[in-house]
Amino acid sequence: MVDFTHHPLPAFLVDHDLNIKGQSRLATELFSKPDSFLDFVDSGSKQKALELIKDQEEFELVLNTVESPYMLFKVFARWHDGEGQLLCVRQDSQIMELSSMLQMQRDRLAETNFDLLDKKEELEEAMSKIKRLSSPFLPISSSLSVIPLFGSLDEELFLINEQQLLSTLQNGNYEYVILDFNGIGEIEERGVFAFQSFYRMIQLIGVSPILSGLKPQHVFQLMENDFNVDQTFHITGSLKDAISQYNLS
Amino acid sequence: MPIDIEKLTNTLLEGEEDHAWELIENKAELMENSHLTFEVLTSAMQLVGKLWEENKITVADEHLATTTCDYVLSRYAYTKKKSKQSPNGKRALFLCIDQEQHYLGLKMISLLFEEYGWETRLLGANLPLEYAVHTVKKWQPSVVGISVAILYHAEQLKNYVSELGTLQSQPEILVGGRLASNYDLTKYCSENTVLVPGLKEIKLWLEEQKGDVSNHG
Repeated sequence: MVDFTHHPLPAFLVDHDLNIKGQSRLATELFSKPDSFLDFVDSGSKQKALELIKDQEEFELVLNTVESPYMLFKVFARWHDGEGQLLCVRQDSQIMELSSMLQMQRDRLAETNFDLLDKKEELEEAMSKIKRLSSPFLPISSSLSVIPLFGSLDEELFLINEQQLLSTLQNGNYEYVILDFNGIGEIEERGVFAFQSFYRMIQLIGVSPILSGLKPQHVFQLMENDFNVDQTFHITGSLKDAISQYNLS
Repeated sequence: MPIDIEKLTNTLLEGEEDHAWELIENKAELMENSHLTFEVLTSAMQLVGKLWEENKITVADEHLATTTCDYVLSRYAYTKKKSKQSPNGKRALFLCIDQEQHYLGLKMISLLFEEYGWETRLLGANLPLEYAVHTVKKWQPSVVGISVAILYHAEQLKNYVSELGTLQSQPEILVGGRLASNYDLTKYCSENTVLVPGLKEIKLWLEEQKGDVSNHG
């Protein structure tokens, strides 16, 4: 009989029915002294062990060790003259390698997530920048200035810009400001309300607002949203007309 | 099954997450019905387990398949975000018991709950009982879902069920997972524990809850 005591791995010598006839010192440390090899095979691996142990040379099994009831081993089996030698090798190193691969995949997931978030923030910033640039303030003379409006007439356009524009108008002692609609495309309902309140505030600080460049569909949309034209608004046709008229006066 | 499970399983085992996603994405039936997608992925992962028993793959391969499947699930959940029902104001907490690593099923269940308008939290694999108790106290979910896959852990389930059962908030406890479909876990549970062996049972349960809500206004 082979002497297994000093084998460098947990090793067992078993008979045809898997009864243990000898085992290495390391095997005793890990699995104590069982009667049968099946005694410490996990219930989930038992069927696999029974099916493979005689036919296959290596396979993985979950074994119950003294330390842990659930540990993965690669088992090597050799049979000769009705006796089997079984070596059990822990699979830790392989699992470590695997963990790093898994980590890579998880990182990729997280990265995709963060990339998307970053892009979203960038986009929001760009949108706000576009809005800021969509109502520049142009001084024409000491009494006249122009604010050409661009893009959609929406709530944000005024939310972002009205404070700055109002204080510029007030500090410059302007008499007139022309709000030019040439660059305006869509007009949104909430934009009309915001525009009306912006209009009132301009009047409150003592500047006369003048509308120019209104296209027929603008007028239609403004009316549809109850924009009150029946006020002291000055409306002129084109921006050019408006400038020449109010610059001279 | 709406798609070739063997093919899907192979992409999972190869770690080809994009390829696996394509297989799902190209089937309108799967994109519309999340429970079908979950069933398809569950079948694929069951096949992975069978391949291990037949000594055709190693545990390392299994882990890779799990992560790939996890990725596909996350991506699926993201695309389904828009079709969620409006929030019903109820919370459900999901966890695996200590030492359990089988969290995919739990993730599917939590996604299904979300689709039904629940607010969910997935505590994930390998969670000690004290932490679960702490979270239930703090977050006050009306449902706690526990997943068990390995028989060795069934004894622990008993502790979880009884400990969570004594909490003042009295959350309803659902027990599912592979073990719930293979064994009768009644003796590890309390009278009020609901055993839900599979996705179908969960879906039924969710439909019932929905009915309850509308009946009581």
